[in-house]
Amino acid sequence: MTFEDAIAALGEEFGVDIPVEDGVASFEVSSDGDNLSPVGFTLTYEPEDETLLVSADAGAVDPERGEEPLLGMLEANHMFAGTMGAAFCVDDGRAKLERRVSLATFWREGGKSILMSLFKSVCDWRRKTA
Amino acid sequence: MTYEELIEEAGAAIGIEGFTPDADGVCTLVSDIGEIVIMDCKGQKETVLLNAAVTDVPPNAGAALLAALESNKGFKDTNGATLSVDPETHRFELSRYAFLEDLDPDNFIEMVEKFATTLVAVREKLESAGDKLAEGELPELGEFIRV
Repeated sequence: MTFEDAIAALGEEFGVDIPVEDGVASFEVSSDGDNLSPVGFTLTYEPEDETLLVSADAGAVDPERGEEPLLGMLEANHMFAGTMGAAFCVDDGRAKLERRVSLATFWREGGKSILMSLFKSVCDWRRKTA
Repeated sequence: MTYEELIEEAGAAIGIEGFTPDADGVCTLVSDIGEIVIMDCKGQKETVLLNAAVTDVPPNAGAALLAALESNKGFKDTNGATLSVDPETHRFELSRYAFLEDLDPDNFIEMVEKFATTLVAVREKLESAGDKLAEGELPELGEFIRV
């Protein structure tokens, strides 16, 4: 089973076609009946250890809000209590929730359930910091 | 292999005979870099968690908080671990977990050694927030001592 197979299966579960280019798949997930903007996902394949980096974009970090959102993300990371096994980070001024998972685990556990747990954590965080 | 067998065999491999977790599945490695707590989490999948205190969150912590979050990006600077803040102690902590089914004594020892190396590096980084973690300049580990 390859990264492309896993993404094709994920696309089938979501009912969409997810393009893959150079080991990277990007797409958005939104929820019905929610005013929150869609969450952008990027899945990057790391062939050296057959691992996926799953990254969910939680939005721009607003510098005017000072330390509060930064501290909130780091506290959510504590013992992974607010992230369901993932980790908040900041990448080029944007808050992201990320998880590394082996391709085998992604396939075995079902990629959709892994993505939806990140989606839920990002939505919870956005509501909390709105 | 059970969690208890993993801990005991890994302990013996690094010269700590009879290294076993307590009744709550917790054991602690102590060295001059601090304590690394090892825990067994019996959730949906049995998980082994490493946790260590890094340093206190300083007053006016913006730069240090941002440095911690940027270190978490892609798990690269943290060698697979995650930086967090304990809301109770207001202290930076470093954590990493792995599923028990993926571990054997050899890769568990490797995981703990990487974790300890990372602990030293991120402590230095956060205590001088803004400094870049220089690759290849990580300090050598001290010898582990059983508590």
